[in-house]
Amino acid sequence: MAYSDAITQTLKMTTNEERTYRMLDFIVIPIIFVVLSAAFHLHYMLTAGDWDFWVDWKDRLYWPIVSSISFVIIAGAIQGLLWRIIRMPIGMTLVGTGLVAVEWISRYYNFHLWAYFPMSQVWPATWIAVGIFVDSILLLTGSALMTSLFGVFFIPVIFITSNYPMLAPFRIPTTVMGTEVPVADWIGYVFQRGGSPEYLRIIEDAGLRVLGGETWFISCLFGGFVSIFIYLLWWWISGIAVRPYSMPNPLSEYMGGTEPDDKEDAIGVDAYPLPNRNDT
Amino acid sequence: MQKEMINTYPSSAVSEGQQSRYVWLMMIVITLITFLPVDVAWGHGERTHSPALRMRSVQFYDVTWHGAGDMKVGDKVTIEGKFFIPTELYWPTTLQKPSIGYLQTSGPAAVFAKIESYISDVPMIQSASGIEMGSTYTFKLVMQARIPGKWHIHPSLQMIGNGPIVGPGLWTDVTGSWSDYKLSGVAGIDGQFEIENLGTYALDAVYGWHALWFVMAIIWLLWWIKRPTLLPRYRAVQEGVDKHLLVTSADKKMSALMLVVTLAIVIGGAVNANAKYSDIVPLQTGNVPITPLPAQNSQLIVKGIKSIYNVPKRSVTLKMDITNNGDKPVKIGEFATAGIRFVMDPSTLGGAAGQALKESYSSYDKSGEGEGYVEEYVRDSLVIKGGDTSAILPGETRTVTIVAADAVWEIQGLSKIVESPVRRIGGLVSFYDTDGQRYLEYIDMSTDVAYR
Repeated sequence: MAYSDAITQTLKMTTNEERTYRMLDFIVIPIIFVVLSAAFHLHYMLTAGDWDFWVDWKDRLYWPIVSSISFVIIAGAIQGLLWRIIRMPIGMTLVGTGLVAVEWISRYYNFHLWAYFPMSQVWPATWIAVGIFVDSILLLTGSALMTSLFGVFFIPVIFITSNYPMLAPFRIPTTVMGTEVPVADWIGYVFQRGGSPEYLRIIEDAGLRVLGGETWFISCLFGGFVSIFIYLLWWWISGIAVRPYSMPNPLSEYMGGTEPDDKEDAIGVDAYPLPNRNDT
Repeated sequence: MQKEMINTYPSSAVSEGQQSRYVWLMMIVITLITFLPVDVAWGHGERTHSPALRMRSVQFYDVTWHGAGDMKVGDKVTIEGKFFIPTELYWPTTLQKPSIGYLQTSGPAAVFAKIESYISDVPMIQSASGIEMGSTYTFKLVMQARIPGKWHIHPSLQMIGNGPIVGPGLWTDVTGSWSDYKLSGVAGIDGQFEIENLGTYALDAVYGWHALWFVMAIIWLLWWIKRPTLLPRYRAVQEGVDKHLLVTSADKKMSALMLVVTLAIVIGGAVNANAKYSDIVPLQTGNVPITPLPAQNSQLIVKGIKSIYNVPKRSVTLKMDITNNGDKPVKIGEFATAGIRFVMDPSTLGGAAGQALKESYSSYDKSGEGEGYVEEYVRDSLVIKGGDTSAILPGETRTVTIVAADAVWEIQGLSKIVESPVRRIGGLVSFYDTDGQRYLEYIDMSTDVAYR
């Protein structure tokens, strides 16, 4: 009974079953972690890439909004998935940690060693504080709606604030060719991206959307507001994903197999073998 | 499952037993493909840019290099010169009109550090606005070797909506160690923060904070997955066991503790950073207006009539009408396009004009000590068809055909004008008067191809 706990005892599992299931944990959890991290990395790089790649893109206006909305898509879905199927409030921390870990690998090997950008230019932002914060809110409230209102809404604030100690040294002014700019701008100027001229940066400018000196506040407010809806959408989509469903391969006869027989092979949700599903 | 492994499709060439053999064969072939020899790509494709765009958009000229060639990490190279933006009449319709631009070098990533850059003596840390068509600008780039290797570096002008047009490039051979490169400075409103090495600046804080958050994540994740996780809990959820077994009171206490600690670290860290770095500035993104060089006082009217690219001779023949409304005779000295200069024999110009032409270029000194033009881009292959090298006198209008026959058309990929959907050639023609004064006139004309 090496792995026994209250749940396995309640389910009247044998020692053999427990050991087998635990072995499965040891095999599957690392695989899940790596696969989710890689998938999240791909998604995050395609949607919030430059804001995370470069220290001189981490601005007050777009960085909180774009990053939060991009993050909450997969983080919300995985959180909903794990909460529904194993009742564990670790989804956002799990994928947030995986994302940051893969970002570090990517920045070090791809950006630093391969493309020669210094690490001071390409360090990734952290999402772990956000993950722990929202996961904790989920556990304490036990509700996706409450989590979205009291957790997800604050994602941009937690994100910016938890990254600020790393970012602040890059925001102090320095003088380059007689022009005062933050150190981050100096870094972006010196270590140039050949195909990305300065004018391509999508960062806060002196337009009307700057809203006085309250850019951080407004962008976090807006980012949090939008994140609520994105989160709830993907929480709902993850609810579809947990339903067991399969369909026969319609191309199997072209792949060396037999023609599919829908009646024999299809496993619909109604035919799901475990009894008392969602019966609480 | 067994039945699905058996191929029963009658027309299939793959029968049972052969399948695995084919699969293995395919795997072996795919594996072997990865061992095919590949060459290292040192350049970055500048010669594959459309020749019609390279010859008809931004014209880099008088580009000089100081300090290139064999370099050590930390050595500086200065690239100076001018670029001309053709008038709207001749600007390629496939490009947007240039308005905002950014001075860069085209090369493989950040192998050089950009120390200074100017257009018309204006610092170019931000992008330049107000680029005018039909105007000439000076530029200057100071680059510092950072990564050891053999690098091909060009000045380039990036234009909003268009991308980069590169000027002439030069090979550099940088030796030394990457770790030797340091760019230092000071920051803060009073210069109170010393930056020892910009490439590693403030990384201790970055590494430290990331490590702290990873530790927090591990604590939180281990708290949950230390117990039987996937299937037991899945079954428990499905079978509806007591929910207090799935989320215990200890879990809730741990969660509350993690929440409080997380918020304390987040707020404490930010407050501390705010106190340490109290004076900060937002990222700067304003554009910097630039003004062109004053227009030259030229009394010449030059109109391109026709050009022909001769494939076997690798030559370009340019026919143009020239009217000299000035008060001094002028002679053609040079045709420059895509950063390449085709120059006449200075002796045909004679006197001050010939001397001025000769002085306008000198071979690049490979030792890196000298200053001057890159030999690769100065070709003494320009001649006047028919051999009439006499000066065009004041008031005279003459039809002149110049011929630039050189392998550089092919080497630089400009011969691809043959297969270009836009067969036009543009460039700057240099005229010299008897005092050695140079006048630059831009021509742009359609191009025919001679295959024999």
